[in-house]
Amino acid sequence: MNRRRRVALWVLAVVIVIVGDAGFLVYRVGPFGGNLAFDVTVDAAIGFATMAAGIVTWSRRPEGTIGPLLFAAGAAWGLTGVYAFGAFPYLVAAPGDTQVFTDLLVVVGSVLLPLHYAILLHLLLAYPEGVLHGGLERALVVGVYGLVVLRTIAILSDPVDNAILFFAGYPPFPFMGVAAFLYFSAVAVAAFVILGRRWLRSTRTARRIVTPVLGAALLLATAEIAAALVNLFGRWGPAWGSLGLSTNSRGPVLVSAWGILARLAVPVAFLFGLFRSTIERSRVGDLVIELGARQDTSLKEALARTLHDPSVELAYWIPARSEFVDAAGRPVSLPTEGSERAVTMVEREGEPLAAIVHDRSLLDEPALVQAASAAARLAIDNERLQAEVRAKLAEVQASRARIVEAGDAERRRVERNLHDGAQQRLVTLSLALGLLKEQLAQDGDPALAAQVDGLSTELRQALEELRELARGIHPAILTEEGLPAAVTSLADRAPVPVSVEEGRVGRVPEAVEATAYFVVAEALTNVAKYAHASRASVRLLRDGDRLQVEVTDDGVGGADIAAGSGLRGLEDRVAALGGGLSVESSPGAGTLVRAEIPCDGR
Amino acid sequence: MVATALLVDDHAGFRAQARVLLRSAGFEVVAEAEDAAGALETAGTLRPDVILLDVQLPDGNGFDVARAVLDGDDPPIVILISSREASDYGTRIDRSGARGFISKAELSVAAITALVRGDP
Repeated sequence: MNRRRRVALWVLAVVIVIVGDAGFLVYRVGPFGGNLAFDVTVDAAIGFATMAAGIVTWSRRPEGTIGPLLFAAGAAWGLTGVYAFGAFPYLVAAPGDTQVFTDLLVVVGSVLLPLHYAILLHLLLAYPEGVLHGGLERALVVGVYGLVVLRTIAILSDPVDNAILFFAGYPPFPFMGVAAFLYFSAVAVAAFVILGRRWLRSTRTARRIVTPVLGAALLLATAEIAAALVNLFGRWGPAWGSLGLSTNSRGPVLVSAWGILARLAVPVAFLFGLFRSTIERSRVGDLVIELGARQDTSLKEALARTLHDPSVELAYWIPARSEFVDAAGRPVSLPTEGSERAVTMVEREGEPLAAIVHDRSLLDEPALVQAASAAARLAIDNERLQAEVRAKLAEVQASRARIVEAGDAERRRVERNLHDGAQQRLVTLSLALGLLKEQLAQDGDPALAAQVDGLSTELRQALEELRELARGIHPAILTEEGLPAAVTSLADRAPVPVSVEEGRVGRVPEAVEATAYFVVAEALTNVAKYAHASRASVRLLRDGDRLQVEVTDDGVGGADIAAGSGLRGLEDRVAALGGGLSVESSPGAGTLVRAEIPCDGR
Repeated sequence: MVATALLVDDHAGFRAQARVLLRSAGFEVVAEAEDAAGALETAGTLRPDVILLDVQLPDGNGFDVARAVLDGDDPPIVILISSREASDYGTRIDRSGARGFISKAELSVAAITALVRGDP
């Protein structure tokens, strides 16, 4: 809103107050009397405060309807006094002396107050976004405005009598008969039921903004109803008296003070809410600063703080996989329509970037969520790329482990084929040769028997080599008996004494078993080849979901993982399963080979 | 009385050679079986004195068969055989309760006789 229009509105507000109160001045000087200075001051203050709140809201939130509505409510209140200009001549002159101009003022003046209430209702239901939510609210507001129109038509039919009847009994509250009182109460109850339900469903942020306005409205509604009751009971003297009060008691005065307070509270509450929501939106600014300076707080935590929703989750869109993943790169599924959680999409140029999964109640504040997601977009995109990399890394890690597992399975298959095929036949052949040799010896052909014996020895050697080959491919005992037994068998075959210490290893996944076995086998081979050790020891330890393997010797040391291709290959193999291999080998201080491999319990 | 033997192996070629070997060692081969189920059945009905039992059978393993046939009155002598070596089986051979183990490559009249006699 530009400056000129703002100034025009302020001027208009002042004019309305002066005109309206001039009307009351005339009215009060007439037959009704009363505490003139006080009444006029309070009346002007209420009208002006409401219009002022409207102008401030209007200039702060030019896009919303709250500002114009507030101004209109204040103006309607302030101009009510013009009724007096129209009515005054009738009150002082003889009936029948009518003029068109004053009739019009009577009509306008007497419908402005109900209009003021209709606008207040509209304001209350549309607050804070400025739009009505759903059919029930629209029906209520349209109905109330419609009745103002009907009232206008009714008064037009006989302006003066209807208007005087209408205003009879002021103060504290002029227009209520029993029917009007019931109507007012029903509308107020309906409005507060709607608002109460909305309040219960809304977030802390929304409540902070709405609560002051709701409180002021409640104060006003109860003040009006109380005033109307006093008015009614005041007229029905006996009933009022039976409550222990008289029409001369301070009751009406107190009710009137309550009403004045409530009327002044309404504009103050709206302004309070305006500044509250300004503060809430400025939190988005804090978010930007926080994200800029962010070192250790996560994006998720920062968003959770800004939105006042600790349950906020972020899901990042991975276009290559057409799925959402979490920050660690694990696939996640978004909540479906109608669940407790709601989703706000963060997009860039029409392409999804991420989804903010939050509490359903935050749907009441789409502007806040949108502002926060817009502010965090850069950080979200950054985090999304990281999540994408993590997802890829996890994929690579998994496929690496699968390759190792597939390799192991293949080795097991080759070993079994060797065993079931060639080895089996050669063993049978060896047995046959043995029998043939004995036969020949019995038959008295020692030369031929010796020749067969030679063949038999040769065959036995071939078998031995084949068995070694098979064991190198995949040790049968590992499949048969598990890691500790296989390691013990390795230790038994080593050329130096090897002690084996084992703690709760049990059976672990085949790939882990095989890797640990080959680490021990390679380390013991190195001990035999290079270490000049007098003894070595192997430790196998299962620590929760990790298997630790240690091979130590008391040899010359100086082994290097980079130099030995055997350990290098094993390091890759261990890493493929998500573990690590290290070698400590200072010259002269022996060698320690340590591997740690994650394994799921079985 | 001639001692009776049951020969259990899934490899027919090997059984043919082993049969000759057992005869040479002085046994009467009263039956042959090619799997664990057949071994348990024949051992129960024929009650042989000696069982030459392959460790790797199509429907089970020799260790379990040994435990089953040894769990009763007047159990037979069980000799486990395999084309693998004893060290490939860790402590399972000892735990099975069999009299002994002979690698198939080392199978001979002398080796069988020594185990049956209980020589060290």
